[in-house]
Amino acid sequence: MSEQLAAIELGDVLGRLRWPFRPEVSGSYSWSSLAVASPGPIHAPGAGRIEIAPLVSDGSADDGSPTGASSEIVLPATGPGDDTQGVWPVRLSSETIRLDVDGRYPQMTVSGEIRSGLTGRVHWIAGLAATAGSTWEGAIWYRHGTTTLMPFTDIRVVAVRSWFGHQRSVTIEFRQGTVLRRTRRYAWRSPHFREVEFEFDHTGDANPVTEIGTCDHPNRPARLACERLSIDDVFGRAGFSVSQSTGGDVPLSGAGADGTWSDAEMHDAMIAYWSRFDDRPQWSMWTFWCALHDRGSSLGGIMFDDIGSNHRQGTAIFTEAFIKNPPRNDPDPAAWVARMRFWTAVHEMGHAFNLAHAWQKSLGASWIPMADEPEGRSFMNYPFRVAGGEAAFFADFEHRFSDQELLFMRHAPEAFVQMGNADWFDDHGFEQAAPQQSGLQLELRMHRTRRVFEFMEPVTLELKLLNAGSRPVLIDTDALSDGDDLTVIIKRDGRPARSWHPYATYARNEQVEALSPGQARYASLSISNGLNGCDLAEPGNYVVQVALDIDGTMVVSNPLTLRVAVPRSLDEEDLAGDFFTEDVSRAVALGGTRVMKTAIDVLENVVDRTPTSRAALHARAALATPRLHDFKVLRFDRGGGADAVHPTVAVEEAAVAEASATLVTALVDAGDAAADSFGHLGLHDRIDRLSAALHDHGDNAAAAACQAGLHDTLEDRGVLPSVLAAIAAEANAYEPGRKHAPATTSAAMKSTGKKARAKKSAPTKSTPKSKSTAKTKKSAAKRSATKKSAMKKTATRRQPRAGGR
Amino acid sequence: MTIVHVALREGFDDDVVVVDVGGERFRFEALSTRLQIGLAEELDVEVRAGAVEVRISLPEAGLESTSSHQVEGEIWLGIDRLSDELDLTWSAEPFRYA
Repeated sequence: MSEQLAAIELGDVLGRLRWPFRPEVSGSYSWSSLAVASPGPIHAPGAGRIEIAPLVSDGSADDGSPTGASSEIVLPATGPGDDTQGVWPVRLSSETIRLDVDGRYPQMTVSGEIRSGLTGRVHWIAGLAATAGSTWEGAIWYRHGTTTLMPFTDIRVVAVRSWFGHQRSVTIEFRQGTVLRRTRRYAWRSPHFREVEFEFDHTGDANPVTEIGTCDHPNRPARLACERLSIDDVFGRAGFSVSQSTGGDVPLSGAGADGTWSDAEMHDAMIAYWSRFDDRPQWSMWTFWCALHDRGSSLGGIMFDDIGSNHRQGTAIFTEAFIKNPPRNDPDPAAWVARMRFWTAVHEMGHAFNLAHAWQKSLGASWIPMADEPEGRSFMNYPFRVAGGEAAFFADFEHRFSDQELLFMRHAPEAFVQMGNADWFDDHGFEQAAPQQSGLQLELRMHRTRRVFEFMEPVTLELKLLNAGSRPVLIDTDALSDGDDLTVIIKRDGRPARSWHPYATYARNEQVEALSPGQARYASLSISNGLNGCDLAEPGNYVVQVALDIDGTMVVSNPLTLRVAVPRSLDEEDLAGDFFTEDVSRAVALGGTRVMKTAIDVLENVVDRTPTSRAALHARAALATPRLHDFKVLRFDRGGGADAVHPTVAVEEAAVAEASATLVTALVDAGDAAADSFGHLGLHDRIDRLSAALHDHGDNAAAAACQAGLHDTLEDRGVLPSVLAAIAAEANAYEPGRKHAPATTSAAMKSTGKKARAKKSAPTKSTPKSKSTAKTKKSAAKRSATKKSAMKKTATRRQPRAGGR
Repeated sequence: MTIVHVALREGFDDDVVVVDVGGERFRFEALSTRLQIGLAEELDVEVRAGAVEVRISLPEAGLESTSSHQVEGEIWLGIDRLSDELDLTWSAEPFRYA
């Protein structure tokens, strides 16, 4: 062992000497496994698979790993001009944990990250209780990210204690209930949980205080240890390994003629004088000591960096503000001033770690539900705001952060805490959060001229992930669609932001593709309903924003504003109570139902009573889609005794003719309205499924007509020629020889299409608004009428509308 | 003459706020509390010494509150929006923020 290493170990040993004299185990640990492409041939250009084999694995005693060492990367078909150079077929599986059971302010918690391959990443946290001297057990209570990587519910932690770091390790048994599923041993890395760097710069008229004597002022807790305490010490005890970059003077000229500082002037100074300034998230912060803010002596300090991109990188302390004015008759004014300047500095730096004021913990979208601590004796509370004022505060202040603040700084996902990452105060408000280093751009959009959704209309948006960079980027093929890597935030005016939780996420085998420069991937996103309930039910203005986790880097969309309109009729108001229910929400979100009778009744009622509404389009789709195919139903039959229940799977037969007639009404005939409401991708997908079902049913002409109708709708809306060509080809595939030149086909289709619509619309228009008691018969009658006309129509081609937008 | 320093502090979130002090009206659109200092906006109003009435309203939220105070010298008024009410605090000393 080198002398340097020996010195480090000795320092670590001395640092861990606290009663009782045994080595502490809190700190960070890691495990990793690296795999690279085998040297075998790579089939490019063209689709190919690259087998990769494990190369390196530190840590040991693993089993049941969810991140198998052998995997594959699927390359997309490539063509001339494609550039896949620089795309490394490398898969890195790594895990880090932070064990927090002893040392300063133990939170009895272990947290960790699992990174699997290029896109999988999950953050998890478990609470712990000691079951033996070096053993703890507890439940996993927090997951964030690719949650399928962490299916376990409980853990058992066994630590190997040693005075020497290289002998320390932690083994964690991951369980699902009582069943042991996985064991992993982690090697020791550091006695700290995270690393951070500070830089202290100051003006000539400022009086920085970065260290105090804890007993310098007589008003203090009797139990407080007397020591020299630095800012670095405070954050070190919060779990950080603190380093400092070299600070220096900032000229007063930066403050302008008035000599006081505005936020903008401080921001400019940060860019000019902070040696580490960079527009990206980093564990680094600039602390600026100056005399006064433009607001005057009432402002003691501020985390000023909440404008532009990369918030929370800069803080300022105004040493000549009220914090230099001790109370009259204070027993030690100089010590009072030093302590207030010190307190202010740590307080403002706490904001840069995304800590809120003690009395604001419950505001906004916090990472976990948090309680206000208005009387807390924390750096994040105002001494002059508690009962009894400053004297009461400092009499019981131990120069520390509260437990929930420590839990956040030590164990919350890195993006929430790290400077320059998540926006100030909003763990879920991703606006201008992580920079798009990868060149990927995520666009959230809708295909309608007015951003207004009808009352009860499900909100469907579209995502476009574009590689706007100059190099290929590897992405998970299903990143946009499996729901695990997406975070969707919905915020209604005047309400806290809410995270959308879909009814279903998909655990797929991870497949990676290279997205070449200029290439894009698209997905439809229906966000009205989810496990949170109906987040967009109420009329009002909303902002929606999406973040996509690409290999641990958040790619953040534009914030999209939309409005949900008020009900247009008493019928809509009347239906809302039944419509915004769990059953109906699931039926609409999951593509329909044949078993949830209550939901079916409500959806039929929507069609009956508001037939021209956008909600009726979705209701028709949800009612008809499950009837396109045979539908398996789980039934529980009783027999053989009172308690015997026999589950059986029954098959309800498809009703293709009836279902397709309803779907043609909702998807094809509705044209523009359908494209508005389902979105281009959603409409395309639904009509593809309808055509496929008609084809399976033997009605290729109808299948082709549906494609033709889709073609015309999208053509009028200016959709890319390549997409239109693919749809035309699809129609030809169903009906070979079919002509697609609009000039020659449209005239022939025109009269037929109009007749079909006229026939179909007649019963709908003549049907009076029904009450629920009469709805079943009327619905059946209408469906029957609709069926005849719609099926006639599907055998022909709908008339393209004249003109486009 | 003396000065009433009015501080609109905690709880404002994109609100329309109207403040009437000593016969003058101030209207703020889209007023939000800057959470890291617990302050949204400050205004200084010159008034005659004596009884001063302050009225604050958030018309879109349907909130309104009025307070009278005998003003002899410079004085500070803090206004916080709680969940469904407005809280007015008079102080002979400046408020402090950090």
